[in-house]
Amino acid sequence: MSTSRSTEAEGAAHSADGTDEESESFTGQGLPRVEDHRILTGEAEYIHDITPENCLHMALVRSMHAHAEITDIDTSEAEAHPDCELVLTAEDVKADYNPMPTGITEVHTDEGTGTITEWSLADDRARFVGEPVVAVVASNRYAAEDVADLVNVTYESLDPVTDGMTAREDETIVHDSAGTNIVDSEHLTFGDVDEAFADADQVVEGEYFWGRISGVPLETAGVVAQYDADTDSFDIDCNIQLHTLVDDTIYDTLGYDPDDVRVSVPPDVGGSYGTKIAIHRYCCLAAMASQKLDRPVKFEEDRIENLQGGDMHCSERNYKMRLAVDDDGTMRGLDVWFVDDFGAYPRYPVNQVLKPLSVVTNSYDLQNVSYEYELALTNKTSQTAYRGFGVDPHIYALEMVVDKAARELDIDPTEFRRRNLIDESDMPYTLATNNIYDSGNYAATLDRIEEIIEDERDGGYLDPEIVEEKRAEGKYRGVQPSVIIEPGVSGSDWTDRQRSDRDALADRDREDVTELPEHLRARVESDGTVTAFLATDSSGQGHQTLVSQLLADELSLLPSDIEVDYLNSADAPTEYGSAASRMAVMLSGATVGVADELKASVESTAAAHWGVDSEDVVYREGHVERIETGEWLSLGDISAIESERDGSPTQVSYDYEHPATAFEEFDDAFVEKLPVYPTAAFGANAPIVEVDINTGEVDILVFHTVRDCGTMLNPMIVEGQAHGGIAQGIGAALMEEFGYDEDGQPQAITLFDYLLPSIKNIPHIEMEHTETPSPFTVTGAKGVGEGGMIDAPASIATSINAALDPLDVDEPADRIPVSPAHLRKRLRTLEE
Amino acid sequence: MLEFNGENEMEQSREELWPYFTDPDVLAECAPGCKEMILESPHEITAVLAVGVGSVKPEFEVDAVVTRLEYPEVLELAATGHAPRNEFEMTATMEMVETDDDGTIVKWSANADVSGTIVSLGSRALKSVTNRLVSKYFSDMQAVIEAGEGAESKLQAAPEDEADLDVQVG
Repeated sequence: MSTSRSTEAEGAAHSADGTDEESESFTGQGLPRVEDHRILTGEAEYIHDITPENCLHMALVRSMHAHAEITDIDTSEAEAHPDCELVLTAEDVKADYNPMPTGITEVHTDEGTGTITEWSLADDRARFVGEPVVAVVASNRYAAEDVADLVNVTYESLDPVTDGMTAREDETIVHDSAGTNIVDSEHLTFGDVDEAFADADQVVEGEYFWGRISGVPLETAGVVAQYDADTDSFDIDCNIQLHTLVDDTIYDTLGYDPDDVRVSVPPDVGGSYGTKIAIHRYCCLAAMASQKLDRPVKFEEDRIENLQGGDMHCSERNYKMRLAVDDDGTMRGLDVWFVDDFGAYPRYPVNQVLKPLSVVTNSYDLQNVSYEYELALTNKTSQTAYRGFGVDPHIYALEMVVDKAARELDIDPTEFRRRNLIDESDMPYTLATNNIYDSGNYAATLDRIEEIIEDERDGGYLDPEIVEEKRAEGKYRGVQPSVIIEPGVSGSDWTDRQRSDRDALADRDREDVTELPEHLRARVESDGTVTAFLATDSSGQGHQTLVSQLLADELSLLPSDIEVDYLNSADAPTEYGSAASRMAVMLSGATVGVADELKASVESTAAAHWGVDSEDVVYREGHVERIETGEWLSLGDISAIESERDGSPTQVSYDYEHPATAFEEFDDAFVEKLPVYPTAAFGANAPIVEVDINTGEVDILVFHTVRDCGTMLNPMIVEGQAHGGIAQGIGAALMEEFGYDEDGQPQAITLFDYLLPSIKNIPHIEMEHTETPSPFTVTGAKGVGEGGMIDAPASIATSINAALDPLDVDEPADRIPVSPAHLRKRLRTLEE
Repeated sequence: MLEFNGENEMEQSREELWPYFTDPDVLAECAPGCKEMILESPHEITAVLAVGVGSVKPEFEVDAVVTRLEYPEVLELAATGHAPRNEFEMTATMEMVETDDDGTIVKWSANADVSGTIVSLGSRALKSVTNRLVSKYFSDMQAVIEAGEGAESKLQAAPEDEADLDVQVG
């Protein structure tokens, strides 16, 4: 299939095609975000700003032990405190409510089927430091914290298991009822792996570690729950992510129907990056307390709670990679093995271990793949999703072993990559794992990044003279470009398949696939402006801007004529939401669709008003014209007519189907536990690093990146996403880690220990874009929400190895983060 | 498990020092952050100790049992401490060794399981804070001894069936 501009859908004009239309188009322009004014002027209302009258406040008593029997809970002193309104323990929760849904309900072992139960408060055993054991409610948070201190919990501590590799031995089992710590595992093979490995000239092996890293949003979790006794239902305001998809974790726990638990997310959320998908514990506890007290109850997570026990850590993996290669530099086979330390409970993102299958061979043409994982429970806080959703560690481990193979073959690593890149003529390209890359010239991107590096060698950061001078000071400069794929627009059916048992999965076929569409509503107001209603929440992505831009173009209005509002979980249908680099594609598809519906609706109303056929009228520039006479009605007029006739203004909705369902090419991808991500943003990175071998510190002098995410709907938002992602990738690569000591005590529970990159650590990012539209999406856009975090760590690691190549240290960046302490440890062996 | 140890040389003999190191009133005076110390029985001490590590300043309710006592050589204690958001369990040993010039080297060591914010927030400072507290303890002790006000050994080892800490405080 051609990937030229001609495949673009109508209306997706952008700056490159030079038509007259584009100068009038808002889409494709870096329109300033409509959200920013209220955020920058302090007018944005976050969950933490919401405190209804009569509101009480909750605090939590958390386990200080990684693993302990809870032998007694004495609440008498707490209850005697004058400000104490309520004390909740597991006993209370169990009497009236349900366990919280877990990501894995059944665990299969040789001994039979085990189970894992998670209550909102720890029952008889505490399983990680920070696990809530008791909830207390008081008139204000200060009092609530004082009351919490009066609860006396008696523990009998147990040996903890604190890393994935040890957890595999099952000497200490986190959940006795499961019978094992390895609660999920798979070994999937594609192509002829055995033959590839037996036949290849060489097999290169590497072991890599990805530390416990996650998103740390500026705004912590928060909830205000209000029970209404008259209707026996709940209103829950909170900053949960995916509020229409994961609201089951709240209403199932409470034991209520979805319609009786209205979850609303404020229009402004101070970042999530996946981490707030799993804040349901707080929502459940606040709702229970509100029901018991018949008053609103608020809970705001503090920073220590967030870092220590906020259920928000992400992947921690030990990888063993093998790459089968021929001496001529042809990749023949890939063998991936890893264990993921999932923490104490299997939460929502169990399929984080599977998402790498959507980009299993990165940009390389390689069809023989073995992929095996074990998901291990340990006495640490539970994993949630984080930007990249498990792909970031995979790309890192893969790029490391690719580099190693090049060195062992004595081929330039960039040339080795080039020889194995998927060719543009093979697009769309079906991976070994059935997912499809939509479009792109990967070689051209790598060529461009090489040109940029060549420029740096000529008087730039890599000028040989400067490199030599710096080296004399112990500062080693280097770069090794690596390639990027960012899978976009996950479907939801994959999650259902992942949770099906093996027999049910075997019987499933294409007919059984049900993807959740993107739902969008639009209403015409009496003043002629249009209000759109999103069924998905936002945590800073700029949905309001995107919908304003697109809808303005589709309806020939101004973005200022468009208001964008949000639906709560009961009013909105269940849909996936903002995750998995979905929204640019899903929301733009839905916006184009809802605009067509709206035009048809106002045309029909106008035609009826004039008593003519709808072919006799036409929508044009914000009004409907009667072709024959030139009479016209504005949008406001039409909505008023509609109101008079029907009692409600013009209102339409549209459901944009997941793009992969519309293309037969994907039929084979909707099987088994294989992920389907129909867009593949791509690119290449070349961060130039300088490693101080005396301190182990890594300075990124400049971060070069060439990126392509298809049609750019708003280049400013695209760049912002990439900048933010790269910043988080730099933090992951060099600074961030939720370390634990051997007793399971967390070592990074403040921002003094969990180091986030600041302006000091973020270099100048030199970003270039190309635009290769996706043939699978309405606007040609590809998902772009997770790039940077997915690819920056890998490219920083390969550059560090390249910088230290003159020294005899084998793969110094064999763990993430590459902290100064780690590099010094590796370099010290040289000095001995 | 955290391990601490050190030694202090003192010019007095073991026999002179022993009463001071086994007199709860002197211990209460010298133990840093000690707000209260009660000899419940010759082998049981309860105390309230405020320990500040960085921004964390929990006040521990401590139960200690003398698990071994060999005049004038060895004193061993087992202790648990409870504070909001913090707990510890530890065993501490003090050994007195004669020097050639009739002085004494007081060797001490402690193994502690510490849980909670004091270790999560203070782990980087815990060692240096402990060392500072111990050296203050010894210098205060030195001052008391030099003041020559006298002391009375009041501690005894717990009978074997009570030496298990869990029986005492569990």
